[in-house]
Amino acid sequence: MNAEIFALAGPVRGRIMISVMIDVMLTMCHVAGGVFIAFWLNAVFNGERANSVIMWLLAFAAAAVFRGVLAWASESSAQATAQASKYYLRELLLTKLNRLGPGYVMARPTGELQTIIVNGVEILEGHFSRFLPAVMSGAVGCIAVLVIIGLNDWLTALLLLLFLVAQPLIDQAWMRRRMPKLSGIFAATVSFGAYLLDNLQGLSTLKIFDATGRRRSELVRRARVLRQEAMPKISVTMARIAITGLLTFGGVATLIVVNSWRYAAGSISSLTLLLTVFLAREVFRPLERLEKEFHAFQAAKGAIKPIKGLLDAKLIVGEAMNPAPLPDSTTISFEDVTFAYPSGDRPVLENVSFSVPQGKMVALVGPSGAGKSTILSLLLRFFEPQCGAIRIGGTDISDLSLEDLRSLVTVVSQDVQLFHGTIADNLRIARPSASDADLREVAGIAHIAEFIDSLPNGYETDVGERGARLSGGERQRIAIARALLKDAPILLFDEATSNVDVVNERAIQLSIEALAGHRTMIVVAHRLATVEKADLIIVMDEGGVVEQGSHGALLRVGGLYSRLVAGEGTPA
Amino acid sequence: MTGLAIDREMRAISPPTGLLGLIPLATRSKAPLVLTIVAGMVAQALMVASLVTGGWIAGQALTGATVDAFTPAAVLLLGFVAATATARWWQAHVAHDLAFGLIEVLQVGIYDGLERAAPGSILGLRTGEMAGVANADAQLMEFFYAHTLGDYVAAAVVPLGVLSVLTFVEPILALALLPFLPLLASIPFWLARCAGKQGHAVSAAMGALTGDVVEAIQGQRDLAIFGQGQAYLQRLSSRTAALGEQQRSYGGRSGLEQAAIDVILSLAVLTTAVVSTLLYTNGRIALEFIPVAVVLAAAALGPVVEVTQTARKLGELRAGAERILAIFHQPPNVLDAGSFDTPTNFSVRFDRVAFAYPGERHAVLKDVSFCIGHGQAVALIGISGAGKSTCANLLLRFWDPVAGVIFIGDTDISSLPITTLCKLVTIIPQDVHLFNESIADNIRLGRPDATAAEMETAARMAQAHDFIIDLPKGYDTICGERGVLLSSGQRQRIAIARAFLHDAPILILDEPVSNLDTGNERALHTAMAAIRHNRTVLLIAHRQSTIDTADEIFELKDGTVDSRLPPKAH
Repeated sequence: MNAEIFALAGPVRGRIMISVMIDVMLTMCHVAGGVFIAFWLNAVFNGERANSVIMWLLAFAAAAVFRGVLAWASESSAQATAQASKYYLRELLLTKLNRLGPGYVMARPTGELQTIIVNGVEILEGHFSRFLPAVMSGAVGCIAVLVIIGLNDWLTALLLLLFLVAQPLIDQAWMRRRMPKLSGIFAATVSFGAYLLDNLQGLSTLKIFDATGRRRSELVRRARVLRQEAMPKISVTMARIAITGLLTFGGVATLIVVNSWRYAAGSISSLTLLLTVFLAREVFRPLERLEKEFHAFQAAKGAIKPIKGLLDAKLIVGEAMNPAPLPDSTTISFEDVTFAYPSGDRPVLENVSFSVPQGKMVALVGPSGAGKSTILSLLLRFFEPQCGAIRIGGTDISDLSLEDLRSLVTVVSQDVQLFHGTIADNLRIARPSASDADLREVAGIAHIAEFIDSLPNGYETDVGERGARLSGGERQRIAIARALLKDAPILLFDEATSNVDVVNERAIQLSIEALAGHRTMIVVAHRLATVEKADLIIVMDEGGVVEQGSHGALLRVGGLYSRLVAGEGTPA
Repeated sequence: MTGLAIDREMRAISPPTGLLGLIPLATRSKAPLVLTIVAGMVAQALMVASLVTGGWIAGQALTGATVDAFTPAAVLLLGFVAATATARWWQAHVAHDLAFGLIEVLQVGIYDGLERAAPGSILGLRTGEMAGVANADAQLMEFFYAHTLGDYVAAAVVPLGVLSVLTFVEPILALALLPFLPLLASIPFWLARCAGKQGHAVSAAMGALTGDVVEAIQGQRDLAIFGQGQAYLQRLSSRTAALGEQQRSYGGRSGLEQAAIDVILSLAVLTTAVVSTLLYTNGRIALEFIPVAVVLAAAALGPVVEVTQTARKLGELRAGAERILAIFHQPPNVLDAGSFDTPTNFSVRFDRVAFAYPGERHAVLKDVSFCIGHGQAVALIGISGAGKSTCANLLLRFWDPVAGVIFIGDTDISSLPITTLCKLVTIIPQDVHLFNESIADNIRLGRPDATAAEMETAARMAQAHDFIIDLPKGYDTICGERGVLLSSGQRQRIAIARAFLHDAPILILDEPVSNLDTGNERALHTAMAAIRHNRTVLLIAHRQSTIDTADEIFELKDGTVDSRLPPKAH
């Protein structure tokens, strides 16, 4: 039981408590069954009247019926609790993620958030729906049995308690000694798994280099070594099973023997002896339960930290208190902007100033790491610059509401995210109210209409899990159509052609050129040929603007740009 | 592909195999398997013996026996308890030994099966994707054999053993208990059809929901830009609500099963109580035997209950077993039966080659003929899916053509040992797989015995040496280790160094599609130009500038070589 984990359950706590209550009642029925059997036998041995013998059996039957009902309720309730806590935690985390915005996601390694939100929630769900009810009801049952036995004979209860306390103490002492060796085995097993997976994934490569046989022998060797090294250590560690077993069964057996002697000596009642036979075992159940769920508990303790980290994360960009009205113009200006990523020590941009007049197309070029994509992230306010201002039509973008700002700007990036659903669904993410004719129009401009029409289901074609069924170029063009559908006056292209083949590259190039003059555009490009027609080319290097001008003018200057151009186009 | 679809496909291709089909595999480590089951049964039997002895001692005491009368039994009881504890330890030991032993059978078997299929697919999953699934399945199987299987055997043997012993003591009591065994054991089957349907529906819906959550995280940026973050969340919520209904009926059903187990178990104890009381009043059994009978009833049914509760996991296990069996039964794509000597001329000729991937009706190549002269370069062009990569796969002999022949010099490549063919042909693929080992090991993949100097020369020629020595540990840097993320251009150049060291006279060059930044691109071009020197080259080209460097150009279209385009003068 851990208060910090329980606090996270929020409104689901009530439901968890219901689950706990049901399980406690279930355990009590269980205990009652044992008690009634003991009373029944007591009546039989003492030669009581048939009435009283039958009465205890009826009581046992009644407890059994209750048990059935409660077992059903327990399972149903656990399922409901699982569902409710998953729903609640997911919504909590995703809402927070929405508020943190893309900047937070971008600054984290891929997969980390997924692990937190998907796996972490899964683990906590199990903790809430199974672990807590099991352990709490087990504890209540254990106490109830000790009390019932203690009321009859305090010495029996005391001896049971001794065995009960001794078991975890001895077990822990044993495990603390063995744990370092065990974790070594665990690491070796994990690393064997990683080695296997790496080689399975690289099988084609191994085949090409005729290395499959060699790797196979190595795999077999590693499996043997793992077994030879792990077995002696595991074997000794497993002695705990003998120790705990000895304490549990040994405890019960000792008490049965001791109480039989005491009964023969006339110092306890027959009922006490029968309760010992039928109930003493129940005292150890919670420990067994805990043992079974031990891994789940450790996992929950591990999951809680990153989840809280996400929930407590500070917002990267704040909303303006009194948002400014939408600007009249879409001229963009960066004024002395300096920016470093939260995790980085060096600024990525230093004193960057430039402007993009309304309706013009500006290209950002330069070696990787120059800060080109960062400029786009700042313009979208995924991050906040440490110094300087970014304005649209004269208004500082931090004075605009995020909603307004993002209604002005849209972006096509190199890694396009398509969502589960049809092509039409994906386009309409940009504008849910768009008509079919609107979809056709933007698809035409993005040079993807022909392709979509060639699909058996046209716009209703399912894009497959994360767009897996479409090629990079096709996805890219769908993303352009989607961006166009949003109809924002400012359009950003972030290396939109870097993952596509030559045919797609050409099509995308044509779409960009067709838009020139209609929108204010910033194009970040690796390949310089794609930006020759830009109204202005801004050349960046190491976080600063080093030169700007038209293609022709920059070539005449003979600076970084002309060097970059000269470096390109060498045939293979 | 969803789990459901896999299931369906599984059923279509494999006869009734499942978990039982896997048992022959596990018997490859026969001794540990038998030991595990025996150990489990010994532990169970000793446990029952302890319980019975405890009940008997109490019964003796209650009927007025003297301490001396049951002291020997008390010693016996403590002996049984110690033996039970030891037997459980032994069981844990042999179970772990079995699990570790099975790694060699299962995991290595999966390696073999996937190796036969690579780079094709099994059950619709590419080998790379299948790797993760199969590895998880193997771990599930190890757990099954080491732990679950023993429980199942015990669930069958222990109750029957107890009942047969009871038959000798008092047949009526045994007869009274008998019906409860099949009753308990059959519970998972009562609603099996319903459970299966509900289970599939719930897990499919949950999987879809998890997929949506992942999308919401990965698509954060796009959702923010389009202002759809909240809307997407609402969509998730409504889906969750829809799932709730299914989940409730699932929970209700599995709750009913739990209730049935509980009630039947109680009924068995109650029946024993009533019957033994009646038998006692009729003088058929002694009074002190009643506690023993009640304890025995509970002990006999305990293992069955244990198993009934794990039965809900059997579906999952079966699906895993079937996937593993499909991998084990995967036939090899090609037969390595050639014995011809290495040809001396390294021209490549495709002669009326036709090919369809196994399990697909649609032929990728229908009638493809072309020739690459010794030391020449030919560019294959065509839209994606036209069969360019298929030509490469056939030349590497990942598969054999359905019709037609591929020659190197005058030798049919299928009459060469595969080891020989590997020495003759190599490929620089688009997506390079680097193993999670040092860069040196990765370059040495084709020639593990190469010296450091040879390896460095290869790296220099591949324009990779300079960036490698700039890495923190140089050639000993582990690829893919934290912080050492190589760019795609750098990975390509390591692949070229690998190919240099391998030094095959025939090279397939699958041009990368993605654009690199200028510095990387120039280095890659230089490296590619170097490795093409003096080799017979099959170019899978995308860019005009690359296509222009070929001696001849062939366009693949509709499964045939559509046209032979004139190369530009260069």
